[in-house]
Amino acid sequence: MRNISHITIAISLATLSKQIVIEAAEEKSLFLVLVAIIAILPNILDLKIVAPLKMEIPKPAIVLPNKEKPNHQPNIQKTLEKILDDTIENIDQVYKYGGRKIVEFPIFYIKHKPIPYKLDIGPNTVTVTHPTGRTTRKTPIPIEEGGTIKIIDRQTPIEIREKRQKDGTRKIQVLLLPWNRGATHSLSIPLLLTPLIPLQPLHGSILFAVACLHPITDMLSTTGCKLFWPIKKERIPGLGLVTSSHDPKLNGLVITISALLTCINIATHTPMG
Amino acid sequence: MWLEIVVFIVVGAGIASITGCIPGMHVNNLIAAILPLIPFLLHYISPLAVVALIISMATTHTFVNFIPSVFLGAPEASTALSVLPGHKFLLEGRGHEAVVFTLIGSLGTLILAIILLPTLVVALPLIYRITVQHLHWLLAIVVVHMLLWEPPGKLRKNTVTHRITTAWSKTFISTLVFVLSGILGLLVLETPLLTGKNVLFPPLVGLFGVSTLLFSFMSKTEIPPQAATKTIKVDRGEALKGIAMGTTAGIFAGVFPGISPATSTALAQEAIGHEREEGEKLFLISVGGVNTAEAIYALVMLYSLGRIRSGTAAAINQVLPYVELNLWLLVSIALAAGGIATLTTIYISKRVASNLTKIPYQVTCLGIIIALSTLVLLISGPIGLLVMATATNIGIITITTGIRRVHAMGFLLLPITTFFLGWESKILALLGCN
Repeated sequence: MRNISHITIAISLATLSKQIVIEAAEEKSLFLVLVAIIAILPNILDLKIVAPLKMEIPKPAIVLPNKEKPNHQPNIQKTLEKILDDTIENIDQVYKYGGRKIVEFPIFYIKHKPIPYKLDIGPNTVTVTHPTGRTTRKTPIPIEEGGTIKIIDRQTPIEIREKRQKDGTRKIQVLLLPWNRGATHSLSIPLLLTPLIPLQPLHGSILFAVACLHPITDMLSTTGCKLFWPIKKERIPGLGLVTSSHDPKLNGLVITISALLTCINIATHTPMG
Repeated sequence: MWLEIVVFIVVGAGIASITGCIPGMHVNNLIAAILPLIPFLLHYISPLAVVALIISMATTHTFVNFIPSVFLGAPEASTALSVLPGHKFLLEGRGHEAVVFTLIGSLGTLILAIILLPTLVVALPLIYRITVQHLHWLLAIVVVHMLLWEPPGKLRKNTVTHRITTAWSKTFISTLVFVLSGILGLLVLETPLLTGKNVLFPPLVGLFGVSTLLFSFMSKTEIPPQAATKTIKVDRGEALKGIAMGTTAGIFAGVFPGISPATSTALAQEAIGHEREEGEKLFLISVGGVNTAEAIYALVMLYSLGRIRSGTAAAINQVLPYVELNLWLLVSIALAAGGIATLTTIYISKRVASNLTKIPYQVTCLGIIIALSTLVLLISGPIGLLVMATATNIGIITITTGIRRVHAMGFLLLPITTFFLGWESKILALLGCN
């Protein structure tokens, strides 16, 4: 889900309480702003703390699956393996028959431009070509005996998005999210808020519920999150109800419904002056 | 009477086609300039013709105003940290194409507004009545989200400190810009620093006009030849999505005070748009639409609730004692003006595109900076010039640090949020203004 979806869901939940709505209207309380911050806290932590620490400085990288430790999602693994198989098959072809082969696929770094990677497979090297600003960087990676190429980022959680192009073909986007939806999207974060509940039962419970909602709604997509970190450190596969949590239609629908609910809640609970 | 209305639609479109080409000139500044003339005009022409003149000027201005936004103030791509989508097209020789995208948004939104009008006449006042006591936290959430969600800068070093400071630096600078522009807004709007109707002109010209032109002048931008006659292909789905985004953002900006078209477009883009890198065309279509949509929905708010949400609504409000308001007539006038504005904008844009490289770009920028400064001096005096200079400095911070320019809209958002929170007088007292 996008941030605004998380915020509108959280606000629609919080405004179910008459007391919260009255406090907001009459005492000019800013509690609902805190609710909004808690609703997007996992994403803020990811973007502002986890990502900077984990994100690689962009460098040429061939993102290929590791067959020894397959991705827990069969469809993702299958797509990744296809890229790997295509690459290896082309390397074999060049080894056997000479000439050159080109394999192209785009890799998406979050908040960066889509990077169209081109593997130029020659007899001795695979040259990885990708644009960096105005120039195009070419990095030759030596092919080892046996025709395999070095696999980088093997443990990176990867989100695959398939998009139908205008000409009917499908474009595969490989979204690298090595930092996204890790510990920040676990249920441990809401647990940190539980001491607030005895102090402020209503406000504490709302904040706890809102903090739980974020990882739960993110579980609707295929990528899932590390829901039970640190007990279970693996990422739990999502329900796969939507291919991407950034889907505009899904987010548009969620925002509209939540906003309507909020309006109904406010209209019901606000004392008319 | 109808002929008189048609004549004044054309006259209004003609005037706004000229004023729309002035960078940093907001439609409210244009309307503020004709406000004192309204009683005088009412002696000679019918009230409906005055309304036609005002709406035609306001609508046309929102169409034509993208010409200076796209063709002027482009930075040198290698030196600026953030290049606006329109300027990206300009630097690729596709400035006219960018203007056409904004026109698609403006015209499409206008047509969609008419389709949605019966629903919105009921819905918008209802939304406003429901949320009016809750505007303080709604606006505060918009501010907090915008500031926190500023993406991190590019990593250059591999140290932990560098990584964390890079991630938070833009949020820190955005907050600084928001607060500085907000304080400027409080001083301009809530104190007698600037007097007269055109208090918005010097700060807005500084924040978004002169700062951009000055940066462009300093960075020795080279503009490539512009393709003015090339056929422009637009994906229907993309256009419809942009129009829908523009309309949504326009409703938001039209109903909620303090939310500018730029702010609401940024929110709509984040909510239902593409990733930023994919959506430049989409952004241009939606940003084209949002200004027009806001103008229309401000009329709806005036008609349904008597609430003044824009300069145009304020001007029409002056004519209200002399005429019975018919919303369909107002929107029809806007549609007619939109048709004329589309044609004039395409014509002007083509002319500008084909002649842009004939005059040195820096000379053009400098000339416009001098002209704007003179205009500010004449309208608002030396204090206005001082306000413009301060606003220019704030605008330059946004360009050189690569943060989104929408944070400078703290100029309106901070005073309005503090007003709804009831903190306004306390902050002014802190600033030593009471």
